[in-house]
Amino acid sequence: MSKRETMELAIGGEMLPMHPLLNFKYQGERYAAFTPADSADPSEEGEVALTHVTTKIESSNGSVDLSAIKSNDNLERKLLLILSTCIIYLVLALCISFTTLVFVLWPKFWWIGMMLIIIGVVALIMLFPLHIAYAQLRKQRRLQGLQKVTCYEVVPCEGNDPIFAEFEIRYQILEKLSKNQQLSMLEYQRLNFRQKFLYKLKMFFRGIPRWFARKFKRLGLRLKAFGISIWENIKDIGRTFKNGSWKTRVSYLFMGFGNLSHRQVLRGILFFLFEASFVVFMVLSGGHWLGKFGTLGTTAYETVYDPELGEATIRVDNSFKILLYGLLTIFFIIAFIYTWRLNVKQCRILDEITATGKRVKSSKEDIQSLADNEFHKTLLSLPVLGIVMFTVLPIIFMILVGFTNYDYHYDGYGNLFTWCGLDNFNTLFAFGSKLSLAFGEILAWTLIWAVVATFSNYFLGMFVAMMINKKGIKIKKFWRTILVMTIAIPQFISLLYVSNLFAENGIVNATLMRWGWIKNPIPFWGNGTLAKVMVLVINIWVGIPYLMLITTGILMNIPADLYESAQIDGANAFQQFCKITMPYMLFVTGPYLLTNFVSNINNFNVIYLLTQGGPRHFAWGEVGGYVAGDTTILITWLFGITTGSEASYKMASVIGTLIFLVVSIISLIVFTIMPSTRREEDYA
Amino acid sequence: MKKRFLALGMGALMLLPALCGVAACGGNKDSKTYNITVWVGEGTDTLTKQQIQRFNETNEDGVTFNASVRIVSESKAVGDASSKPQSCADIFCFAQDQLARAVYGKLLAPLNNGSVNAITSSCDERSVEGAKIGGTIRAFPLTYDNGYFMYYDKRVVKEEHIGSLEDILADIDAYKGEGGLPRNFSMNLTDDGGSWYSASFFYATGCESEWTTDDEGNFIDYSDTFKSENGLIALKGIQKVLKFSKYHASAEVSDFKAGIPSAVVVSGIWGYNAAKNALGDNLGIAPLPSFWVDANGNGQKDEGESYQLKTYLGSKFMGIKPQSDLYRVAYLQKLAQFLTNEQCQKERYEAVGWGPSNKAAAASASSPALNALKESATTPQGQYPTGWWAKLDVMVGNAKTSAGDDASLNALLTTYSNALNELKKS
Repeated sequence: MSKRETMELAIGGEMLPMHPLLNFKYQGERYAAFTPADSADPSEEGEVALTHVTTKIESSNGSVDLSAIKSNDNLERKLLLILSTCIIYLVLALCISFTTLVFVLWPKFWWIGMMLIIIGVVALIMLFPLHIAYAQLRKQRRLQGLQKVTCYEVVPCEGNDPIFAEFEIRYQILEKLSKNQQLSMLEYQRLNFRQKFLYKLKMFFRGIPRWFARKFKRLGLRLKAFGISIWENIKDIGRTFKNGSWKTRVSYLFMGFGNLSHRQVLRGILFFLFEASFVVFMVLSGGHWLGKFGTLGTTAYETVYDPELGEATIRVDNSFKILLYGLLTIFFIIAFIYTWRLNVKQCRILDEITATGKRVKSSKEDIQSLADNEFHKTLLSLPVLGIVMFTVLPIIFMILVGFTNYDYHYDGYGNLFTWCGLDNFNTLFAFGSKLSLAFGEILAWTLIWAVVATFSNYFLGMFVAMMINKKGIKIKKFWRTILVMTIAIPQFISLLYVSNLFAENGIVNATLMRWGWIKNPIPFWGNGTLAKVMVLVINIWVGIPYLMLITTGILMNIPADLYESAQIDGANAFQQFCKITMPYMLFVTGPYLLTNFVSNINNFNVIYLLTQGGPRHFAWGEVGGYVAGDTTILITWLFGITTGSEASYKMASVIGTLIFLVVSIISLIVFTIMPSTRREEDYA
Repeated sequence: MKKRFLALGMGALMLLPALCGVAACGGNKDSKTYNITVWVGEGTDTLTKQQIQRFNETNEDGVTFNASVRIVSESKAVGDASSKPQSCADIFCFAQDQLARAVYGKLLAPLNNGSVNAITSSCDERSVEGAKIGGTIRAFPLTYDNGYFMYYDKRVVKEEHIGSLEDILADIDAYKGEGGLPRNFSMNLTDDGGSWYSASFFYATGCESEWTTDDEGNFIDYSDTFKSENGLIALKGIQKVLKFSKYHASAEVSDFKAGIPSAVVVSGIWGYNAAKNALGDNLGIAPLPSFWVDANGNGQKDEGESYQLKTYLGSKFMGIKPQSDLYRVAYLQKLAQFLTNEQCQKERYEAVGWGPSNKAAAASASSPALNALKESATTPQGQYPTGWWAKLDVMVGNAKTSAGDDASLNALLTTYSNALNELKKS
């Protein structure tokens, strides 16, 4: 149904706040729409009815097309998901921090509370725009008559008078909202910009308690479901043992026995081999590593000295290896428990199938299914294994290092390192310390750098592409080639070259002085603010060509008729850019923008090759023998700390963990709300 | 305990042949080739390969080495070895300030009697002292030239002015080159590694920082007088340089060829060839100058008191990574003795100009750079915790932005001094 289409609707009975029975008449026929009595949100029932009306009319048959309704809810659901996640974090943060601060049970770690409060405030600040976006969306959907609650039945109805037009229905819905102390649309439209903002702000904070309640309930339900599922699994294991055949019971000890006895040879052998390799591994190696995992080693080496020959050294423990192999062992144990549970489950299923007299799948069918309906397992098994081994494991390993005292003093070889709890985090966040000051400033600059570097390249690259693409520009290939030349030279060469060029005793200063333009050299890298501007500008120089190439293709794909229509409607160039070019670009390049942002947070090359993080900021002191500088970002700080004279791997790990958190949280939020995650139809 | 017995048992097994009368370092005609890796300083890899080849040809034991020689900077060798101990070279060269760290990280083992005797009988006593941790010699002195002095451009700095920092700065300030281009004064006081140079100001005023280690390389005690009246004077001297408008924080002799060239570069013997190439006959080499500070701080020449800057003077060493095979240990030490003997040190001096630690080789070595170092006022390079350099670095760096009054400079000295206790604990 188009929004502008007029239709006759009849609303019978008490529409609000009772559970509705909405009757309407359309094209001479009368209908009634029901919503379930246990609807989750009675306040939305009026809107629910409209949904079904709309859908019914569009489908032009007697039933409601529920899938269409649900699919249109995708974005809204995602927003809800983000909001709920953020709220949960917020609630957790506030609770923990207040608990920490009020009771002061653990004063040494007071910074945890402070940090959580900051997270809470940041989350609130981030939530507000999301809330506005969500409110906008709700309003749009409401006007379109598309709402989300499931409809059960649509039936013809008799006896009520068809009265209301679409406008009146809208009005009624807004009236309903006003009963909840909200402004009607007309009232809202009368407000000026500041009042609108304050109104949204007020509504946002007023809505928080309801959100809390709802999301807490949902979180509780999920936790409960998780607990229940574990308990069910345990019960199932017990039940299977009690009720299962003797073959099943033997499988508890000898994995795969049940499968083998049911002629599932392949599965049986695989289970057995897995168990055998696990046992062999644990006996030969895993037990050793796991046994030392708690201490990370006790004796580094033994020596034997002979005055004539010298000293022989026999290495005993190596903390690094113990940590790594211990972690691997834990992963293996988890994998074993999962596989063992799978084995038990399969035995139960086999028992059930046998009891019903049906035939079990043969090995041949198993193999065939791997190429057919189980093909996803075939495809995904290796990548998943790779991700676990090369991404998940190193990340966990890195995080664990942050809880040890691993540094130059305790390198795990000559001097073993061991667990130290939260000491390193405590050092980083110690109140008023130079280190916490440095961390705050470096984090702020990292985020500023990432945002400015990303968007400056993005917009300027796009403008360059638009300029080159513009009709009337001659020798377009030439301009593109000139820009692409920057890419042709390896970045580390061009950046080192530029770094020397702008050095205090470099050629740029020398030339300017020769020309008499300046009396003293300009400290391009010696002044903190100037150095920051310089790295941002030089990053534009190296980054624009990439964006220019990417956006050229996309810009050429925007349908020309959109611009023509806009021109006919009287849109100027700026309006066309804002309403056509930008939305299209954001839709297509959203993921690129996000990855670019993340890579800029970790943009080691540009910063390190240009300034090495300098000029050094001595007021922050040193960490691990490394003095951070004004242009130091987290990743170069991490590098400096690990390669500094005291090689503080433990602090580097803490910083790495924080980078991981910052990047993953931002990525998750942005990726979920970006337009590109919507379907193209939604976008259009 | 079980491991201990195991280790002792293994040790006894390894010693068995030696107890049976098979001398490891002499007379054993069994031929055996050991594969080893060697890290050496820049410019000496080819020479080292040739020297190892000569060792293989002349060694009467029949033992030869198949060596893979790589260039790893002496200032970074111990750091690299600490971060990846398993991949550390069997023989590696390193600067003296890294010795305690190497011992602490179990990257060096005590030497056998033969090596100790060879070192004490042939090497300069000061370099032998420098090789000791807790009274035990841990490495083979390779050079005794690790210090710094002044390379200068004779066209800018007058020869009669090289003894005074104030005169040098005045000469540089007055100079106008082609197109009005000025000249810089390069000394690394605030860049990475600057504390090695800035310490010269403190030693000039009579300050001391002495650190005591135990046999394992742990720093157990210290005596530091940087926080004193003399330390204050040193900081004022440093400030004088840092606030000089043409100061450039660098120890690279390539500054002589920069866009805005330097007229003075404070660097070491390793920069001689590059400096000579850059300036040719205009290159002057001189010991560090003296500086003046009066009671009010920024003293001009002839006001207040003069303090002669003192360079560190220390060695580069050749160390042997701990091995599990006693014979391998013994043969590696024999190779290291060979690579640090008189002939090899002479060859190294001729090839790259490194000042020998071997007394006989040093007697015949003479070059402008070495002579400047010999004439310099020096402080023996001691052992310092790695963190000490960083603390000094931070103090000097903060002096650059400090107001320069006594109170603010004393505050810097106090912060520095308070931080030293942490180093002792570590």
